[in-house]
Amino acid sequence: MAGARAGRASRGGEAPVSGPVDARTDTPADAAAVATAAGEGPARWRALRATFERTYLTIDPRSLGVGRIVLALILLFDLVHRAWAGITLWYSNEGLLPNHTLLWRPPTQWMFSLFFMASWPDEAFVGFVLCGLVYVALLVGWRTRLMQALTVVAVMSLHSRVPFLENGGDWTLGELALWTAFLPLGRRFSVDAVRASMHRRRETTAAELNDRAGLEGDVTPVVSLAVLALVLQLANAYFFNAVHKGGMTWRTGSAVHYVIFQDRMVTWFGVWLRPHMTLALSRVLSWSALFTEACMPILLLLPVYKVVTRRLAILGCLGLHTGFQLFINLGVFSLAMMGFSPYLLSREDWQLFARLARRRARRLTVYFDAGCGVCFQIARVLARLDRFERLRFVSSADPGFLPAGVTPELLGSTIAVVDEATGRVATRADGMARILGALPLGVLWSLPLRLPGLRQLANVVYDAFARRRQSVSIGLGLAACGLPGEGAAAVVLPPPEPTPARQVLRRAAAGAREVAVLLLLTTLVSETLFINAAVPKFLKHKQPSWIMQLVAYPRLIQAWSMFAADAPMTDESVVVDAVTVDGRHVDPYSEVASRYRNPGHDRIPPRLDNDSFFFNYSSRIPFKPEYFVALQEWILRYPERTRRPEDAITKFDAWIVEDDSPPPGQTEERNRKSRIFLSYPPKK
Amino acid sequence: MDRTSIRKALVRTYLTIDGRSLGVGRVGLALLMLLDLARRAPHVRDFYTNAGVLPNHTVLWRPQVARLFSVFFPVSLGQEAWLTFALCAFCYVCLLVGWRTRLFQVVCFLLAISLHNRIVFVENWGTVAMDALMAWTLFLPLGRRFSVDALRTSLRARPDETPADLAPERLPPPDERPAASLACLGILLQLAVIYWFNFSHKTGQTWRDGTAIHYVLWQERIVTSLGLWAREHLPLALWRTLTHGTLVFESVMPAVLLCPVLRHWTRGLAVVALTAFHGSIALLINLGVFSPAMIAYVPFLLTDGHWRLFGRLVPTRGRRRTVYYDASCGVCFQIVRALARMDVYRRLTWVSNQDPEALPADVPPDLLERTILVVDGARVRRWTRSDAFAQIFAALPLGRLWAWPLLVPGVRQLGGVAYDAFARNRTAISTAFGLAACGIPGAPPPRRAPEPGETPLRTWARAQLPLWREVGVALVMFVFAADVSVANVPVPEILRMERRPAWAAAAVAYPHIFQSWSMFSPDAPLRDYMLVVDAVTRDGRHVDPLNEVGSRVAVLPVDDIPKRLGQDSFWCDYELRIPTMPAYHQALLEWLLRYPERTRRERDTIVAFDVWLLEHASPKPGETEPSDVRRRRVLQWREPAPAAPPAAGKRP
Repeated sequence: MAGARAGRASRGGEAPVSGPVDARTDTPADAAAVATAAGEGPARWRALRATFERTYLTIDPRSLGVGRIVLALILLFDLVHRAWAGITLWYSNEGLLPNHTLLWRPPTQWMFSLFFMASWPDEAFVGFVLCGLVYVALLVGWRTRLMQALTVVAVMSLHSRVPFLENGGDWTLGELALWTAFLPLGRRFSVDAVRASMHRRRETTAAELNDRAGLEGDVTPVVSLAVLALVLQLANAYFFNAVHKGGMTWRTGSAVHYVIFQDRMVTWFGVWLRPHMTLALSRVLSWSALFTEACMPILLLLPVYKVVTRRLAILGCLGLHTGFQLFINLGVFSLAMMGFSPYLLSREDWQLFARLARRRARRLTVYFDAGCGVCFQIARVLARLDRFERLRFVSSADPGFLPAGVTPELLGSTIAVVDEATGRVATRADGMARILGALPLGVLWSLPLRLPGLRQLANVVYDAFARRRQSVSIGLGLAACGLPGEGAAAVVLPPPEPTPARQVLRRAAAGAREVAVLLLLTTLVSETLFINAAVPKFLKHKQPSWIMQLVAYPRLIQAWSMFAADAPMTDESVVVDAVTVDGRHVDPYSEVASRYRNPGHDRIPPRLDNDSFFFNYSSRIPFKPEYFVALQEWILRYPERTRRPEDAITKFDAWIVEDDSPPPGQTEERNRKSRIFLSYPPKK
Repeated sequence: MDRTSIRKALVRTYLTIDGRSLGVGRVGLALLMLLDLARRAPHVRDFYTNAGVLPNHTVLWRPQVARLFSVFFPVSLGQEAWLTFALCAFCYVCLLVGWRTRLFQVVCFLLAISLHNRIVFVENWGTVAMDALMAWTLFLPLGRRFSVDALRTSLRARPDETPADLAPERLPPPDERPAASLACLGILLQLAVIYWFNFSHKTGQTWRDGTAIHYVLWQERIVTSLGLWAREHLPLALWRTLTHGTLVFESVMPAVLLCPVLRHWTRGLAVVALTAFHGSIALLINLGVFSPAMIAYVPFLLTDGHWRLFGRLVPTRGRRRTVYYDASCGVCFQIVRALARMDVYRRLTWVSNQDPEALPADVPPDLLERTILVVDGARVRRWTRSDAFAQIFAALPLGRLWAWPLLVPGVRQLGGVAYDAFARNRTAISTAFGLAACGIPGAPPPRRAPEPGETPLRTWARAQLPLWREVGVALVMFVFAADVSVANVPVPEILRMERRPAWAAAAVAYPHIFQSWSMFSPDAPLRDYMLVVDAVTRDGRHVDPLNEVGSRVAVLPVDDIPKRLGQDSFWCDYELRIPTMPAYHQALLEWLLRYPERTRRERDTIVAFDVWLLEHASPKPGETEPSDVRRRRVLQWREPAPAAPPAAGKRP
C-alpha cells in the first residue's frame, strides 16, 4: 500500500500528494503506477508512456537534493574564482571592461546583467556579496524555490557582465542553473525539508524521537520535462564536442600532446608531463577522451538498462573532466560538467548507498536534557538528519538503566553519548562530535570539533551554553525545566487540505512551468541545429527573433566544439611593453595576467598560468579594436594601482606573441613571431 | 505647563502623524508615482533606450554624478525598458492599494529613484522633492489605514465572524494609533528647507522689483497656454503682487509649518496655501512633476483635528442603506465582511437572509436567492443586482468615484449580466474557495494549535525595532542636513559641513536627493533659449527631428523662438543643458541620424544637419516683443563624400 501511494509521482515538482513512504524499504513504486494506468486505456500506449516517463522524465528527490548542494558549491567556487580574479579588473570601470564600453559595443545584442549597474569596485563587491548570500541559501536549502530563481538571475548577471570572457564552462554552469530552476531541489537534504517535517510532526518526548516512522524523507519521484532537458543538455554537449573533432590532431591522436603545449592554460602537471608525452601516450589519452565523449550521449539516452548506463555515464563524466582538469585550466568547465552527475543518480543508486551505509552503522545512545526546550529542538533536528537511524535519544530525567561512566550528576551538566558497541562515553563538545559523526557524511561535520584547539574552544562554548540553556530556552519561548513554553504545547497537525481553487491554481502553475520548459527545450533544439557545423544542411533553419532572444538572455548557447575540429597547434599571448617616466620598461598586463612580471615579446615562456578570464581576454582583445580605449586607459592607470608616481607611463606597445607548438616527439616551440596591435601614443 | 505636558505637546506637534493622514498620503504618493511614470512612458524610446538621446553607455561613461543607483542602467532595448516600466507600474499599484505596503514602500522607492537617475541629465527639482518625500515615508507605516493590509488584518483578527457581528457597533474599530517617529519631523523640515532656501536664494533684481513672474511667463519652453494668455492680458501690477506674494509665501511657510502652537490652524493654513500656490504654478508654467510632488506633501500635514472636521462635514443620513444579502453563500459573506469594514461612515446596515423577520413584508424570500437587495433609509427605493452594488459603493468614502462606472449606460447592463453569472455560480465559487455554500458545509477552518505566545526574544527584538528605525531616520537627517549646509549659499560658513564623511556624500548621491533649493534664483531667467536642428534629407527637404518630438512647433526656418513651445520638462531641460555637454553630442548626433528609423521613411535619410542654439532677451515689463535675438551653432554634421573611384591605371 505504501508503495502504491508512493508511486503517485509528483508532477513537475508539486508537493508530494502521497502520505509517508517507508524509506527503509524504499519500495519501487512505478510498477504499481504502470499497472494501474495500464488498465485504464490502450495498454500498450500506456505502458510505453509510463516507460518513457520513468526513463526520461523521472528523478529521485534525493538526487535533486545532492544536485542542489553540488550546484551551489560550484556556484560558490565560480564566485570566489571571479572575486579572486579581480572584481576591480573585470567588474568595475577601473578595469579592462568598463560597463559603458560593453554597453556601447555589446558582444551580443540581448544581454541581461544587474552588474551593469556597478561602476565602482565597492558597488560590484556588494553585488558579489549578494550573489554569495543567495548561493549559500541555495546550498543549505533555505527558501529553495526563491533562491533557485535568484540563482538564475545571479548567474546570468555575473556571466553576462563579462560576455567577452565567457567560455563553455560559463554556458554549462548557467544552463545547469537554468534547467534545475524548474525542479524542486529543496525537497531533500534542505532546511526547507527539515522545517516542513518539524512543522508536520511535533514530538514531545525523547521516546517519540526514536520513532522514526513519519520522519523519513520524501522519496516520491519527481516527474518533469526539465529532467529530460538536463539529460539532453549534457548529451548535446558531448555529442557535438565529439562529432566536431574531425581534424588531423584527433585522427592521429596528437591532440593531447598539442593541448599541453598551450602555455596559457597548461597546469604544472601538464608541464611536467611534456617530456614524457610520447605519441603513443597522446593517442591513448586523445582517443579515450574522444571515445568517452562519443559514448556519453548513448549512455545518457539509452532507453534500456537505465541504472547501469547512467552509472557508466557518471563514471565517464567524472573521469573525463578530472583528466581535463589535471592537464589544463578551463575555468569552471570541468566542474560545471561534473555538476550534472548527481542528477543521473537513480533510486537504485540511493538504495545501494543506504545498504552500504547501514552495513557500517554504529549505534549511539544520546542522553540529553529533554526538559531543556532548546536542547529538545536540537534533538528533533538531529533525529531528522539521522538518516541511518544510528542515534537513540534518552531523556536524562528518566534514563532508566545508566551505563558505566554515566551518572545523574554528569547528565545534569552535559550531554552523554554512549557507543552501544564499545560502551565508550563522550560528553560536552566531544559528544556533539560523535553525534555529528553518526550523520550522513558525518566525518565532514564532526571534523572541526575534533581538531586540536577548536575542540577545546568548542568545549568552552558548550559549557557556556549548557549553563545558560534554561535562559536561552525561555528566551526563545521554549519549555525549560518545568517552566512551560511553546515547545511543550505539541500538537500533531495534519496539513490543511488545500481548497479546490488552490488545487486548480497549483495544477495551472505546474502546467505553466512545464510549458516554460517545453519552450526552452524548443529553443535548445533550434539553437543546436542552427549553430553546430555538424548538423546537416537540410536541418538548418533561420531562427526567429524570439528564439534568438531566449538563447541570448540566459546564455543558452549550444555551440559545442571545444578543441575542435583540431586541437590548437599554435600558442599565443599578449604582453605590453610600457615605458615609465623614469625610463623603466614594465609590463602592467603580465604583472596581473601571468606568473611572469615582464616576459618580453620574443617568446612565450612556459606555463603562463593565465586564469580562464585572462586566457580568453588575451585571445580576443587583439581583434576587438572597439575595446582598445578601455585597455589603453587601464594601462595608463598603472601608477594609480601601484601608488607610485614614478610608474606613470609615457608610452607603450601592446604585443601579440605567437608560436607553433612542437610536433609530437619534440619539446621546442617553432616559428615565434610577434606584432604590435596597440600603441600609445598612436603611431602614424 | 509642566515639563511632561510640554514634552507631550512637542511630540504631538512634531513627531506624530495621524494614521488616516498616512493612508491618504500613501494614496497620493502612489498616484504621483503613477503620474510620473505615465508622463515618462511616451519618452521610453528617446530617453530610456540606446536608440535615444541618452544611451546607457553614454551616461555611464560620463555620469552627471559619480555615484548613482538605477536598475535602468542595464536596460538597452525598448522591450527591456517597457518591461521595467510595467514592473514599476505593478509595484506602484500595489503601493496604491496598500498590499504588502512595507515591502512595496521600499521597492517603489528603489524603482522611482531608478527611473529618475537613469536620465538625471534631464531631471529637475520636482523629482528630488518626490524622492525626498519617499525617503522620509519609508520609515512610516503608510499601510495602517485605507489599505488592503489593514483590511486583511481586520478580517484575520476575527475569522469566526457571524452575520450578527457585522452590526456597526460590533465591528472591530480601525487602528486609531498615530504614527510617532522622527520621520514626521523629517517631512516638516524637508518642506521648510525647500521653501526657506528657495526664498533666501531669490536675491536678484527681478525678485526685488517684482518682475520675476513676468519674466518666468516669457519662458516659451515652459509657459502653458493659460500662462501665454495671462502674460498678454493681465496687468504688470498683478505679476508684481504675485512675485512679492511668492516671496512672502516661501519665507513664511517654514514658520507656519514649524509653529509649536495652534497646530490645527497652522497646518490647515499650510495645507490650503501650499495647494493653492503649487496649483497656480502648475496652471501657468510646466515644471514637470514639481507641483504635484509638492502637493503630495499635503496629506502628511493633516492633523487628527482636520479628520474630525471632515467626519463632521460628511453627510451620513442621505446615503443610509439597508443591505439584504445571502449569508449562507460563503463568498458573498466574505465580500460583505470586507465591505462592512470599508464602510467608514457606518451608512450600511447588513441584514442576513437567515433572518426572515427582518425582511420587508413585500419582499419575497426567494428574491434573495437570486440577488442582493438594497433599500434606502426611508424604505422607499430598492435596488438589486449590480445597481445594488452601485448603491453600496456610493455609501463608501469617495463613493461616487467607485459607483459611477456601474451607473454608466452599457457598463450598467454589463454589470447586471456579470452579477447574474456570479449569482448563479456562487455556490460553485464558494465551494472552490473552501467556503460554506447554501447548506453545503465549507472546509472547516483549519484546526489551530494554541496560539503560541510571542517568545521573549521576539518581544525583545520587536521592542528594539523602533529604536533602530529612529536611528535610521536620524542618520537620514544627518545626511540631508550635511547636504543642506554645503549645497546652499545662504548657509553661514560656520555651519557648513565641508568635511562631511564620504559615505554621507554618497548617501545623498546614490538616490540623487540633493538639497540645493534655488529655483528661479537669484533671478528669474531674463533670456530664453531653444535648440533648433536644421537637417537636410536626401531629397532636399529641411526638417527638425528634435523639435518634432520635443516641441509643439517644428517649422523651419526659424528666426526667433516661437511662442509657447509646449515642451515637457524632459525636453526643456535637455535642450537647455545639451549645448554645454559635448560628451553627450555624439549620442545626439546618432539619434538625429536615426530619424528615418523613427519615421519609417527611407526618404527621410539625413545627409547634413546643423544644430543651432537660438536665444533672445525676454521682453521687459510693459513690452511684448523679445529683443537681442542670437544664434550659434552647437553641432554640425555632413555626410562623408563617397570615396573617389580609383584613377585609371591605378590599383585601388
